[in-house]
Amino acid sequence: MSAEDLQTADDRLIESLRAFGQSLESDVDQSIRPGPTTLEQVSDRRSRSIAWLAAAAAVLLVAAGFGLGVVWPDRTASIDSVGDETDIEQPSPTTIEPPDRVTPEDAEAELPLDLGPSTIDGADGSVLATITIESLIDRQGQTVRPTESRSEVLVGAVAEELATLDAFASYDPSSLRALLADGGLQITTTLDPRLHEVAAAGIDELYPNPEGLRFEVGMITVDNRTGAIVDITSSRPGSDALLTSPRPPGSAMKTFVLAALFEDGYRLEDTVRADGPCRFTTADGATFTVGGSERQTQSIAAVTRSSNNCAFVRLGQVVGIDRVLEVSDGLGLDLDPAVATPDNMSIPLGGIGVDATQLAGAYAALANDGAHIEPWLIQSVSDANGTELYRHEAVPRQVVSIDTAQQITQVLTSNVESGTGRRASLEDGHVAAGKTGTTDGFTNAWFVGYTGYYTAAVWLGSPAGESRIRIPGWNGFGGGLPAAIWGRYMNEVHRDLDPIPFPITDREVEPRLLVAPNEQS
Amino acid sequence: MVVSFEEFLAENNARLIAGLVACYGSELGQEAAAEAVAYGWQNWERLRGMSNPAGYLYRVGQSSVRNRIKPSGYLPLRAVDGLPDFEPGLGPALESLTEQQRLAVILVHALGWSLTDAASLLDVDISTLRTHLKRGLVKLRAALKVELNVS
Repeated sequence: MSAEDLQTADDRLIESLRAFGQSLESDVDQSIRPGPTTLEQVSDRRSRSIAWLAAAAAVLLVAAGFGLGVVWPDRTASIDSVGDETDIEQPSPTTIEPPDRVTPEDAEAELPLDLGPSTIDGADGSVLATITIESLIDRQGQTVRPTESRSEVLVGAVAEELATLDAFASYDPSSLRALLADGGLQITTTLDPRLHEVAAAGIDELYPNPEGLRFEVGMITVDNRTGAIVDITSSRPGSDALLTSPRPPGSAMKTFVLAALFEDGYRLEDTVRADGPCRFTTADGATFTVGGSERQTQSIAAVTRSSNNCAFVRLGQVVGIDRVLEVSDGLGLDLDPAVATPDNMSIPLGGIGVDATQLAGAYAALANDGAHIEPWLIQSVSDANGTELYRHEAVPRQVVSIDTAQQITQVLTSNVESGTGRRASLEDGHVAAGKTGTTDGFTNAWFVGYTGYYTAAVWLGSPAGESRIRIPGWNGFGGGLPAAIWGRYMNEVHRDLDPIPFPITDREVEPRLLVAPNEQS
Repeated sequence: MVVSFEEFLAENNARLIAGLVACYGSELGQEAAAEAVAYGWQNWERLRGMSNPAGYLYRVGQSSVRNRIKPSGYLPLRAVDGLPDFEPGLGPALESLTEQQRLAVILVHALGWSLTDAASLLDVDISTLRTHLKRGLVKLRAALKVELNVS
């Protein structure tokens, strides 16, 4: 084997070891991460230690001072870093109430009229960022934006969207400059500062991003019913790595295979071989091989829960990669046409770059019974006199059937309950549906999921996208840190919301065995 | 500076359990950790002055189970339903490594610990740990006959 081959072989070995580590962790009934344990866990462990000691008392209790009556310091305070003030109001399903607009007098009082700064506001009217004409115009059309603070990330995101709006298409840079200079613009976004607070606290608690770690966590949240981007948070406040380049979603792409299958009449009860390795004949007569282990034939729902690669490559061949690409396109994914070809059998495994916002938008459409709304950020734009220059209108499009969306939701709900997404499970009756994703060599790890209210995509990786994820105490899987961050965040966000159950349909159907036409024996 | 046993435990309990579980499997490993914690509680005044009390307690845990008969096949042999697959032969292959190699491979590659954390618990230099890791992987690769399977 060449050095490169050796590296690939080691990658596979390490991938298997990490999966093994997950099983080992699940065998032990508490966290075995090297980081600090919470006091609750220690306290719990202590009681079990004592119970065990009681059984072995004759052997162990040699020291006179030690016995079951020993008083341990009793500090079982729960550790909960986010306060209780996270009551999230839901925008109504169809309309978004405009926030109180600044009056011309306010604007005059607050903004100097000559070269006034423009503001980017949250949905609650708070000012999230102040922008200057230069920063806005300079950032338009740029793809790589070195940033230093969160507000610059927001400026970048707003500038990018502003450039696409028809309302401003007629403004060339010099007239936009004049508009901005004349007291500035008030750009009201859909961003919810309360969600951001919860997101930042959650990421900070689980992944403090200490100096020296090359990785970052990025999370984007979309309101299912409006398609509005309600939060963008990174573990490095000034990083827009999540927003600026497409990244491979790994197995989070399998959801699009499900969508194509269900659209074409297959059902979640249908079965497929799950054993591996598996070999297929490609269009040009070569052999495409995917690793795996001995497994029995299982239902589509079950192979999703274990995120079985061979099963999904088979399913991709059953439904056709062209169909997977069509459905992905309908759900808003803008895939690189050089890679997204009907002959590319590895599409179901998600090696292709996907934009995180689009990924969140696609999953939000599934939460929204198949109606897709392109994710958006700018709610309205007004000039310094309060004259509204633009107001967004969300236009939903039914891109997959309600039945398809509900079947996927059912599968992805079971994935959070008992599959690879278990760390994302929610409390207090809230239900989550989601999919993990991990790319080859552990360079990107994802959890993308939704509740009845929100969809969030959590990405973990290095900005350059090349480093193997290595974070003390966490494996590199999407079901690890990304799912845990998602669960922590959504639990807080939904604390005071009424649970919205997903429809579960029991069907009496005879499962069919789906067979890939080009699989070699 | 660690002042109380409780604080020490909050920081080190998980790594102690992980190390012993990696060494002896989940059941015996957890028992060993419980014994080590009990010992640590009793002897904290003496241990707190040591440079690496966690490493010491790890060895206490080890000696507490060394005399017992080690069951074979103690590592999980099959993937837990709902978790990603791993090679079925991985458990037995890991058991064929030396104890130090197995610990290094499980802590760093399976559980995702940093080299520093693993070296500190095992009380070895990072370079020694790297050697164990490297030899462990070579042995595993041979035992599992890992080949390239994408053609």
